[in-house]
Amino acid sequence: MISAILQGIMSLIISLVSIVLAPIDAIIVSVLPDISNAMSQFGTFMNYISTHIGWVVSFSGLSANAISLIVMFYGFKLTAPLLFYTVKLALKWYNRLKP
Amino acid sequence: MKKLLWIVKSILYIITTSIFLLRILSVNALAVDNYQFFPSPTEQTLINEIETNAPSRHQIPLPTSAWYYSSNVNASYLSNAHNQSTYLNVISQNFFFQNTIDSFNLQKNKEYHLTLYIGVKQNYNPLTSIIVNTTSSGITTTGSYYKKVEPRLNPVGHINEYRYDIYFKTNNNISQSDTIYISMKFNPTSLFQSGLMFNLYRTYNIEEVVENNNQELIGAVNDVDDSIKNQTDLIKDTDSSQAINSAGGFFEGFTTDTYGLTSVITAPLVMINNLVSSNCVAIPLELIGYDFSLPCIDSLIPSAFSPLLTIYRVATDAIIGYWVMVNILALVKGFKDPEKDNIEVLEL
Repeated sequence: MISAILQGIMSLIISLVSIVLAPIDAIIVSVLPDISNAMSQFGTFMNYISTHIGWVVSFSGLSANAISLIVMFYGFKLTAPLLFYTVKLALKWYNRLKP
Repeated sequence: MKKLLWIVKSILYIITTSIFLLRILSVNALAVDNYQFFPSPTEQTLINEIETNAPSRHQIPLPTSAWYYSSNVNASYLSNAHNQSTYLNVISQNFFFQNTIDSFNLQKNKEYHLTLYIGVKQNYNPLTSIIVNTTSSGITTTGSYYKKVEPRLNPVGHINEYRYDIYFKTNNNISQSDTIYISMKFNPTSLFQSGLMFNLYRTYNIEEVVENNNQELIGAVNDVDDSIKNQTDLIKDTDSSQAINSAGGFFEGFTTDTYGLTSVITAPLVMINNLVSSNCVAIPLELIGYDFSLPCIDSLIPSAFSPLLTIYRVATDAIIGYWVMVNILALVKGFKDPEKDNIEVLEL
């Protein structure tokens, strides 16, 4: 269940990044196709590596739950302060601006 | 000497306790025996069958000659109440008498429920057994059974009325001219004390047990049963794969581009995604013309040692869980620092 939610969140973020970068990618493909191919090869290489990441995890002896827990923790660590300090900043602005 | 005395006292204590317990058990058993005439296993099966398969019954009207009294009662008192004049002689202790019911046309292979009321002027159960039979042995039960005894004050007053429920089933031998014998055995110590006869009357009611053949109702009940069974199976089902698929399915449909700048920037995210989702797959290798594969750890460890791997994983899960909890606590406590407002980001 945790893995499914994490996968969904990751897919969502990746898709959002793809949407944002789609115009730039289109320009690079049309203007500098070789650079685009080189960068695509990098992505392909990373994908190839990631196909064997399960094997590495298996030899580490960690369970899937432990891996999910670690990823969830870092997700929390990167998002919770952002939300907290954003709210804090908004409250500070409100206190300054209120009559 | 003291030790010997202690042993003797212990033995006496054990014997006394055992006798006391046995006495309690035997008294209870006797008490039940005094007030219940247990059916044979065959009769019990019949009773269960009737009670299970007969949710509804219809009543056959009572004949007018249903009331009987002992001969030595205040006949005028009872006749005022019941307006009957038929008497039953109860003349000796432990009397086992028979009476007949010939007003019913019992059908073959039918189930019947006989309700018998007996009233006496004493506050105890007078009856020890009831046997129902016919002249041609057209009833499958050789004995009968009363499942509940409820003394209640008769409207006449001063008479305790006991109810007995008797179930019997007719067979192919029964004929229209058959006479039903209802034989009752009374408790001698309760009914005929000091040679005196107590007021006694009885009445009965025979109703045919009719099976409910309403197929529509049975079908509806079966549907409800199936529904409850399905719900129970669903609750007990530990397979949560469908729920996981549903949860993941919410995010399906997002396309990812693996080319250009997007692939570079999203590579760490893809790596994290695969870290969470990927399963172990053996890595195939080819060296000097031979095919090798790097197997997963689960297939390397013999099954005899797999519990050790499980223990190791439980231990590492616990350590990682503890580490995560401690760090989350430190993170939350860090929010209280007014000077700290830096935000960490994932460096892609």
